[in-house]
Amino acid sequence: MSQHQSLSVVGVRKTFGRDEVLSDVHVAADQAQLLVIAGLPSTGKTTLARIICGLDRPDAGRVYIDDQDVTDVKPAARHIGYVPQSFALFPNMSVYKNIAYPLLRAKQKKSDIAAQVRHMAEMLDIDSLLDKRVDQISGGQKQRVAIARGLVKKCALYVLDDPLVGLDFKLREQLALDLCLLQKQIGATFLYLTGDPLEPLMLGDNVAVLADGRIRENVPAVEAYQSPQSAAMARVLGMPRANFIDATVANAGQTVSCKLFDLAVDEPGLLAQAADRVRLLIRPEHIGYENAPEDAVHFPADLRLIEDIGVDSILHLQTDVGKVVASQPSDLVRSRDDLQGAVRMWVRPAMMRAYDPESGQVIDCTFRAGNR
Amino acid sequence: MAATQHTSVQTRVKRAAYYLLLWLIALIFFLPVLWILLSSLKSTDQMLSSVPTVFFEPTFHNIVDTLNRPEFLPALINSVILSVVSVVLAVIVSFTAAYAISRFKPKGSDFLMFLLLSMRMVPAAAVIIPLFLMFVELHWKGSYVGLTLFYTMYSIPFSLWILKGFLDGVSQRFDETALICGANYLQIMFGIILPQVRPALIAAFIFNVIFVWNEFLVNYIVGGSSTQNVPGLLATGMYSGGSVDWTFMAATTSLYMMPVIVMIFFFQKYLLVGMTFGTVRGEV
Repeated sequence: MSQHQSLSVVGVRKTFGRDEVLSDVHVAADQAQLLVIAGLPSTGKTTLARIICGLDRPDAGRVYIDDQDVTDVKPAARHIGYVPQSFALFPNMSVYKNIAYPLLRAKQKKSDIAAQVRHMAEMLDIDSLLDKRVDQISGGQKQRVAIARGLVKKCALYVLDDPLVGLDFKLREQLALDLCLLQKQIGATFLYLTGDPLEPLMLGDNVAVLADGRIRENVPAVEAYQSPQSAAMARVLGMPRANFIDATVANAGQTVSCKLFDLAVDEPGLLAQAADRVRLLIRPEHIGYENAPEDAVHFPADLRLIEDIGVDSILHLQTDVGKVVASQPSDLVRSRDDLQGAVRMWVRPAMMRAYDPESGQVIDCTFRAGNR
Repeated sequence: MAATQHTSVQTRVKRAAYYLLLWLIALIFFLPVLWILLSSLKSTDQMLSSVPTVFFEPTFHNIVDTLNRPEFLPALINSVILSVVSVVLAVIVSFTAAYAISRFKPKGSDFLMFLLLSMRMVPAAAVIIPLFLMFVELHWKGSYVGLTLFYTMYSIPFSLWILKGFLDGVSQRFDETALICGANYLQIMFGIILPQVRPALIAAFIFNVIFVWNEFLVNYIVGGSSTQNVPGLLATGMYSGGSVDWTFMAATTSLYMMPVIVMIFFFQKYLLVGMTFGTVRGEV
């Protein structure tokens, strides 16, 4: 018998008209786990959340909560704590009433409700707002109220659909941290859906990536960034977003080349079997300017824009294979006033990863600089 | 500097002229109302003099006379009961129907909406005879139930249109969030959605109350003496001693207008909402 699972989604498919949003979703979360489902915008995250909550019925597949099949169970009977993407705070009620709403509907005792609302409000630092009307508080406070309402009732599963979207950066960071701590305190299973490139890494015990209507990968958060098994995972995590460069495999898998550089391959066997074309993942922080390490390959680029975001600066490069984004320490970038126009960049082949362009699966191999 | 001052004087004169024109036009439309209001305070002689008297000693004689008429108070009570009860019923029915149509979009609801509104396109005179025969057959002639149901039916289409427009503007995320919180549809409709469309409820209420308040034909034909409203009383009570009792007409009309005028004054912003079927939300 497998481990007890709070949530298990099996083979869920959902189409709207001719649009297949989810084709075959399989995902499971263990008890007390914070599972982040990451995905680029409009990949069906919200659709999946709605199906799990019971707002939409899947065309095929089943949903299990605490090992019970709930596919045909009404939303209210699923006992899910839900934080919607739009706050959806009830405008005719005070902050207190909003947070208390799930408890009121569960017909709990007035005194119990008051205690729980107060406790939740204190944890989210909104206890001073309880008497205010919803339209009297700020966006960040509204979000906290929505989170409090979603988490106030004891549930086996909490679904948070991109709860921090649209908030300013500082607030996001703080709330993400609060949520993380809260989840550990409550000790319940959280399903957190987000399109943000950093939240999964900040929050998740596990990160699953949703792309092309399927869950491509479901791994511990630390592995998700370091060694993504799918191109989808690599694409969805990290800020700035990862670069992908198409390259050709030649010499029975011994070399891989693109217009910018040639690479030699260690253990060429796997690559030769897998494909004649690969997609190379290059993280922006692995592309540099000057002080190239010995094992680097170089390529020419046209520097279009420098985006100074504090500690790091993002370099927007135009190359023969299209746009490439690099991230460099701002100290280095600011000290170089010749950093403009035609530049010579380097990248470390050892840090690249190859993916099958068809399946998006990683192809295990290590790269070295080749001869050009 | 001198130039700008000059233009500002010019624009101010222009603006004043526009306002004067607007006021004049508005006053032309207000004149009949003013005539009725002033007439109610005049004596019969002053009122019927061929040269209209503009300055006169106002008298409350007519108003007191009207109030003392034994038929007046029952007719007024009938007006209130018929308009309030039927419109409240209509608004409740319309709200629940509009919620169902807005949220579940049953097949053919667009056509149904059109069909309902088209009922208001039929002139009342065209349906009055069939209606009379129906009411006789149902033994509803002269009954409150019959009249109330007729007015309710007649008030539903317009209310439904206003409320549907408004409910479409209230995000379904509210319904869904409440559903997951454990609410049932009645709790969602009346606890969460209804408070958000209060302006539309008020607009629907006022528009239909004004209609039922002033309805004459149906009340006169299918109603009876016990259900007679004030417009009906005006028609039957205006003749006394072989001639028209002008002072009674003026005083009764003036009195009868007052509640509506007060209501419109206090709720004007909601009336705009009603006229635009909720498409212009405005500051309400």
